[in-house]
Parts: sequence; structure tokens; C-alpha cells
Amino acid sequence: MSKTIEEQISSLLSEIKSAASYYDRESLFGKLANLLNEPTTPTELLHEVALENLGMGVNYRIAEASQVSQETLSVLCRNAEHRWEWRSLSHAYKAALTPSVDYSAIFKNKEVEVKDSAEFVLNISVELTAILWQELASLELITFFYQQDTDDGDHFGPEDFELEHTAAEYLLSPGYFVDWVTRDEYIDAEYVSDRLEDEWGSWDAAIDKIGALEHGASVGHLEPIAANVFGDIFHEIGSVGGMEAQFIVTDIEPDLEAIQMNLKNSNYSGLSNSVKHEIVVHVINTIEHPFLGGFKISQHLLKLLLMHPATPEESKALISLVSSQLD
Amino acid sequence: MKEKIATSDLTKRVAELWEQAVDEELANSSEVTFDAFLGAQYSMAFLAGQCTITEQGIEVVEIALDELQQLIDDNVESDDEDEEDE
Repeated sequence: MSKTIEEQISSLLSEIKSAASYYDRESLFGKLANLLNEPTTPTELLHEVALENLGMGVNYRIAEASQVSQETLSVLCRNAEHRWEWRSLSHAYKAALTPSVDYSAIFKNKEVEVKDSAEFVLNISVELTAILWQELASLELITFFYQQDTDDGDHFGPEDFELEHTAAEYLLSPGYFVDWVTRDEYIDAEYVSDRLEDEWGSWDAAIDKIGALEHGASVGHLEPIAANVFGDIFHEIGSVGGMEAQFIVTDIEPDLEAIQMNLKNSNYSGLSNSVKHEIVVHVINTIEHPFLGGFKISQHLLKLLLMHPATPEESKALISLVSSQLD
Repeated sequence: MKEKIATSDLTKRVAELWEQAVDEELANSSEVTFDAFLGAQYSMAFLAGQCTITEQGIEVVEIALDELQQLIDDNVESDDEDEEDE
């Protein structure tokens, strides 16, 4: 007689606890993760395993299970440290909090009936972020960072918010290829030059050349290099591989013309004060939500709303009351 | 004018030797010194109009010329010996 799914999971958990090596445990985690993803696995059992916090490989599969409860998702949020977990939790909450109305209509100054603050904020958070970033950038109140990352995905967002490499950045950033920024890519010649003596020959030929020219100019073998030369050599590199990406610096500037066009369709500044206040109230209501508050999504939105000149004073006063919870 | 022609000839020769070393898979840090690598890079960039080499830099290019010439010659001799052994 074959074992029930509960028995199989219980047996795997015992084996995991007594497994001697890392490799044995990893193999058992994989088997456990597959069982947890089965639609017949009871919701309570998912919760029990989530409480064990067996690591990213198991936790993100629990979040993917269609029968997972919000109580379990809350446990998973507390333990999530990897982008796979953030992503699976984002999908899980979007499935659990599917809106019955199109909340993004609010940015076109249309009335929407909000049933639940978390549902509302979750479903407008990415769009609201993109709108606020654009509006604040066009007012020269924020500048942007960009970092190419072939392992974990590119990083893009406003500077001075401690957003880089966080769950909030991963979940809120509209991504590098937005149409409202201009990008200027170049190679960090000084950094290449510093590593040249030990590592030349292991990179793309154009990077070797840039390093040699920077080095030559710095030690007096060459006259100072003209400003356009590095740009020309950079274009000799047809594609930037994983290893070379470490040398690429990308300066990001807001494209004010494109921003102006985008904000004609959807914006925050033009909303009525009562709608703006309603948005602020709902975001404040989610500060303690395990996903929206736990990953500091709500906190980032409130910081942006607080510094926005179009946010009504009454709403700013309300945000100030929770300022100690924003960091 | 004389010096400019000399630099042009020198860098052309070093660039050719470097190309040959690349073709023969010798252009790596276990076969070539850092100075020879630099001299070759300066030469190629000079010929592409991307830099001006100073007197000090010319000395590095001359080191590259001697070293790369020796490397290619040694490699030819080694190939000849291999053929004789066969």
C-alpha cells in the first residue's frame, strides 16, 4: 500500500533532520519541495513545513502551491531573503488578492471603490511607483542608480532610499528598459587599469585595450587620451558578456520629454486632494502587512508621497505620524 | 618627421608580431611579459589614431619588439625541431 502524501512528507522531514551531509539534505529538500507543490497537499501541512523554515528551495515552492493560505504566506514573508521567494510570494499574493475592479483607473482621476487596503496597494504599487519616480525626477527631486547584474537581474531605482538590492527594489522597480530614461554606458577604465597587470588576456580584447590606454596615460607612456577614444573602443565590443559586465558603468538620466508624455495618461499630481489622501490612507494601512510592509513596499511609497510637493499637507501630516515606522 | 616615421614603422612591426603571436596562441601572460603586452596595445592604438606615445612609451614598445620577435623566432625553431623529430 502506497504512503499518503502526509506520510511521505513526514518521512522526508525525519530524513532531513538526520541527514549527515549537505548534499543528502539538498536532495531531500528537492523531493520535499515537489511534494509540497502537489495540489493535494493539505493547507495545514504547508503551514507546518513553512514554520520549519527549511530554506529558500523549499519555501518558494510552498508559496507557489495554489492551496497555500495567507497565514502561511505571512510566515514565508518573514523568512524570505532571496528573489525567488520574493517573486513567488508576489505571485501568491496577487492570486490571493485579485481585485474585482480596475484600480489603476484611479490614476486617470476615475472613482474606484476600494474593498481592502492590501488588495488596493498591491495592485497599484508598481504603477504608483513608476508614476512617483517619474514625477519626482521631472521635479529634480530624485536621481537614479543603475547597476548591471547578470546573476540577480539589473538594479534600477532612485538613489538615497537604501533601495538597492532589497526586496522592495526587486518588486517595485519597473526595470531597466523603461522608456523614460536615457542610458549612457561606458567602461570604468580606472578599475580595468587597476586589475590589468594580473588579469590581461582574460577579458574581451577591447577591454584589454582600454586598460592599457588608461594605464599608459597614468604612468606617462602615452599623452592624455582624448575623451571620445574610450567611447569608440567601447563600441568595438559587440556584446557584453557576464565577465565583462563588471566593468560597465551606466549613467541614467530621466528623459523629461518621455515622462511628460507618459504622465498625460496616468499621473498622481493631477488627482484631487481627496483621492490623494485616500491613497495615502490605504498605504499607511498596509505598513504592517507581511508582504507590503514586511518587504518595505508601503514604506517606500510613503517616503515618496511625503516628499512629493503635490501631496496635500493633511496627508503629509498623517504620514509624519508613522514616520518612525518608515525605516 | 624622421622620428614620426620611425615610430610608425616600429609600431607597425610590433602590431604585426602581436597579431602573429595571437594567431599562434602565444599572446598570453604565461608567454609574454606585461611590458610586451602594453607595447603591443600602445602600437595598435597608435596605428588606429587613438593615442600618442611618449618617449618613455617608445621604450616599452621597443621592449615589446625584442620580446615578441624572440618569441616568434623561438616558436618557429621549436616547430622545426618537432618536424625533424617526426
